Amino acid sequence: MNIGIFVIIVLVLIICLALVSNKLKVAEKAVLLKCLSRLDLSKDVSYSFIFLNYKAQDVQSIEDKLMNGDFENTVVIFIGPLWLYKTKQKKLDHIKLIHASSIMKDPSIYKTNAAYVLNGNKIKFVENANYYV
Amino acid sequence: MEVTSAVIDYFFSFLFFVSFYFKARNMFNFSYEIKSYNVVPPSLAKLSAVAVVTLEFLLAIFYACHVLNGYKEAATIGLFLFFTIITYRKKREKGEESCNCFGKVHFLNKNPIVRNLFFIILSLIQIWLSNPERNINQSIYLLLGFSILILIFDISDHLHKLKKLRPEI
Repeated sequence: MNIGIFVIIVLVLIICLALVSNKLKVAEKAVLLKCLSRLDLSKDVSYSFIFLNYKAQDVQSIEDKLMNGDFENTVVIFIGPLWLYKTKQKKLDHIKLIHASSIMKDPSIYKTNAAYVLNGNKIKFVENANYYV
Repeated sequence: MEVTSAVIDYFFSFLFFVSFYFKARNMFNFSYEIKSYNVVPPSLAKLSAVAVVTLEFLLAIFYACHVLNGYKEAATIGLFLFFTIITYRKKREKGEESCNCFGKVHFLNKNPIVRNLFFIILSLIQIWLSNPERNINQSIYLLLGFSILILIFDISDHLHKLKKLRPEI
């Protein structure tokens, strides 16, 4: 097969990826904005969002950091059973905490403790929130 | 011997290409990962991220093109040895061993110390094995093939995420 065909396939795939990636960002942003509206927070301020999955690695380490630090512009989205969420609410009473079920139907895509930084139209993603917190 | 040597070369080329691709796709994430190791000052994290990604890209090409034999294996051993030491240090200090070195290829992110030691041993075997010359056309096909595979994997992962998030828009 000609190298040119391979190059064309790669270019087509790059274009497809760019389109899908853009759509995904829009979907992710919609979830984060929904989170802000549920908590009655301003959409003009830059916020960090942490998806805290109780099954994921490093969850204890992130919780310890959240307990001891000042996280004024941080929203924590808890993924886990409701009873555990209630205990976390008491433990992290200084943090803006929300249960994932109130903003999305299937939070299973967040298997790791992911983090997002939403600044106006810009959205940045961190695979492991433990690095970010 | 020649077949084993070629398989190891292609394996490392693919490995570095995957690592380069997922790190380069989200430099923001990788610079935070570098900060978590406490090896460089936070102000140099971005620069270090660019240096690592560049090195991985070059190694992927060197392995695919089969050039700089001996030197590329030495660079690989040095790189993995460095990562093993800083991962071990992080594990001892913070009790964390997680890494996102290979992005969405989750099985390669598990047990980074054991994985790196395996790669070091593989590089030592490669130095010992013979390294005959190979056709440059073969290398270009190989790199384009890797790109197609990784792009298809990334697109399908994005579509899977999109499918789960979409009803929420």
